[in-house]
Amino acid sequence: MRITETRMLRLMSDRTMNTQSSIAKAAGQVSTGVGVERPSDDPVAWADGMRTKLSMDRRDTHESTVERARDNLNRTDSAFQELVDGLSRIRELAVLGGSDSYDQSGRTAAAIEIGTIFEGMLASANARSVDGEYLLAGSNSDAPPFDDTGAYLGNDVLRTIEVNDQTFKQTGVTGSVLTAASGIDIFGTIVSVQNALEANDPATTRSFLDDLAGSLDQLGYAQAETGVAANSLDQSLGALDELEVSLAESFSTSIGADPIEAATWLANLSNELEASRVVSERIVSLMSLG
Amino acid sequence: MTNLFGLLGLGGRAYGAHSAGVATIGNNVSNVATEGYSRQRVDLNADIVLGGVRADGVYRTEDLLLGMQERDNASSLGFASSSTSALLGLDASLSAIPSSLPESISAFFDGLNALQGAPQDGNRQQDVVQRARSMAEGFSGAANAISSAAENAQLRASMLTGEINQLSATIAASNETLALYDNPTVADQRDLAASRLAELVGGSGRIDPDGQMRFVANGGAVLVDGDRTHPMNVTTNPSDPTSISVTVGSGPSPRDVTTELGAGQLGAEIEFITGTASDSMAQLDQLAFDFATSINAVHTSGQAADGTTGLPMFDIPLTPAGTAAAISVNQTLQDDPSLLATATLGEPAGDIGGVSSMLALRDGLTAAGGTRTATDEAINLLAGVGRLANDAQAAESLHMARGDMLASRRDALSGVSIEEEMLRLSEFQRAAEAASTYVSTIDQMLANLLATL
Repeated sequence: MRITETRMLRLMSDRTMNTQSSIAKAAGQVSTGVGVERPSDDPVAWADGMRTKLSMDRRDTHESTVERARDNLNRTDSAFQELVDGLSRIRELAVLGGSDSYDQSGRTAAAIEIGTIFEGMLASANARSVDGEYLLAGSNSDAPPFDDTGAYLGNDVLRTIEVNDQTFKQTGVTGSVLTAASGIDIFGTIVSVQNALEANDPATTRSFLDDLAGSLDQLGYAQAETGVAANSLDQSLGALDELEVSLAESFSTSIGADPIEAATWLANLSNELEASRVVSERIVSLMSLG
Repeated sequence: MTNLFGLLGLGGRAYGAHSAGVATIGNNVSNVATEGYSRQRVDLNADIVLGGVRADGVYRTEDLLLGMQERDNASSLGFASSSTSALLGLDASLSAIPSSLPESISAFFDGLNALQGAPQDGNRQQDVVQRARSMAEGFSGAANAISSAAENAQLRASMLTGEINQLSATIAASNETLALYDNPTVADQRDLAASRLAELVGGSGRIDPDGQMRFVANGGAVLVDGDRTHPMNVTTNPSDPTSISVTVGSGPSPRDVTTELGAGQLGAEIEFITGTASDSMAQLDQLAFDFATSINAVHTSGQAADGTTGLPMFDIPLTPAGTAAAISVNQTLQDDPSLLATATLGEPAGDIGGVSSMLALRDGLTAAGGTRTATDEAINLLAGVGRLANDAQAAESLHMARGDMLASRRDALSGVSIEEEMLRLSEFQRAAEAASTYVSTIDQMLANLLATL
């Protein structure tokens, strides 16, 4: 086929421009590690990448939400431990106060100490989350769940949050675990013990020892329930960690550029550009001779 | 029998013919880089009456079929190039929105997920309202991107019309000249103008037996017929960037060719305005409308912390049209995010029924007539534009390759090779020298004869 020098030069010029354009693209891939930046680069890969990115963002939010719920359970567990500690001391005081060898002044002092412990326990039962919500109030979380007398004002509604894509879990424990609804009215029992000690009535004081032991068991059960919930959330966090790895791999597969492949491409294009330049020079030189 | 004067005339004609050859080569070489130039050759023929050689004129090397193929490809290439440019522009604009539409919709739901953990946390409520605003801005940003792209296409279409009418005038003027006398340079100019016109408006330029070019746009509207032109006119509506009207012909009833063109750069601009931009805007509006309506429905059936029933979260028009550009977050909610209806109606403030119901819409098939989630529809919308741009790029590459092939064929037939021209120049110079020597010899013979007499 007949081909003129002008045509050859034009072809080389087009080739050089195309190579330069490809070099810019390859250099971008090498520097950013991203092979698909816009939908027009590869619509299917971009859509896959975008879905994966949204899943990654969603996973991050789930992780944050679960961690916050886990933190609330830690606080709840601490509150229960404080209640156990307080109740253990009250039981000790009740055992002493129920003894016939204890005198009235001793029982009065014990009653006063129980009053102080009671206030501390109420504060623990009215513990709040880092967000300011009352942990044991159920969905009445904007008001203290226990009043000054230890009466429960909250409800039994547990919060159900999304912990993974369309996976939901109940979080927390309500204050009803401290009430008669769960067996023994713990705060009511403490008040009764305090009243018996103030009345210098060892027999009545002794009669509450079983309830105090039962209250400790009840608190132990509540702690166990909290632990189960915490364990469940820990499992969710583990699943989210695994998901993070698989999503990162998927994202990289969808829109990421293989660095070695991109670098090789760039090197080849650079060689191609140099070859185009040499050939173009030769053609111009031939034309000048002509 | 030829006498000496006859032989002298034969030598003179030969000299003139070869001189014309040298002049033609000079013209070829000086136009070696002229776009659309076809190399010219002097038409040398044997003079059967007077004998010897004579130059009957200059002709250009051309192939009418190749010319038509080039114009046809230019039409397709023009369409593909303009489509690519417009679609890549829209793709880039939609990608340049700070937080893309799918991301902003998803981020809104992420905010709701975070709010589930602490529905009365003022910071999280504020965050959800902020995310709702970002999402509304994402919708309006996408709507603006589509509108701007369509407006730019309208502007380009208007500018193209000027060039189209000018090219039609050039072809008509060339026809007028060529009707009077044959001129290869004017024919080249006409071919070049026809090729460019095909690139702009599609259609083809056919050369009739009388040598006149008749240019017919796609759909059948005649733009040039001999020395007459039919002007093209573009009308746009500034208040509606997705509308355009193109007519051919002057007078009271010009022909409306808006839906006929479908080729060339103008066809691509029309297709972009009335097709891609219009469809994308409708899809975006529908998505915004469906999404806001479903969120509003849930929000107004929930309850805020103060016990009041939820307000509509988004302010939108009554119908989908224009929703993407107009959507905004209820100003009352923006002023007081605690009015977010986080609870189920009748439940305490710490209830998260309202938040959970809104969050459930994330995976609900609320878009595209109940076939997709909102984020999937947003992804589908953007990927759809990307897919069209990708297809247009592929078509452009294909037609560019075909154009290269045709250009190579044209070059093989009509291109000027300096090397080849130099060889022919040498031939003509030698022939002219020979003719000159021949004339000198005859002249000498005549001189001797006259001296003898």
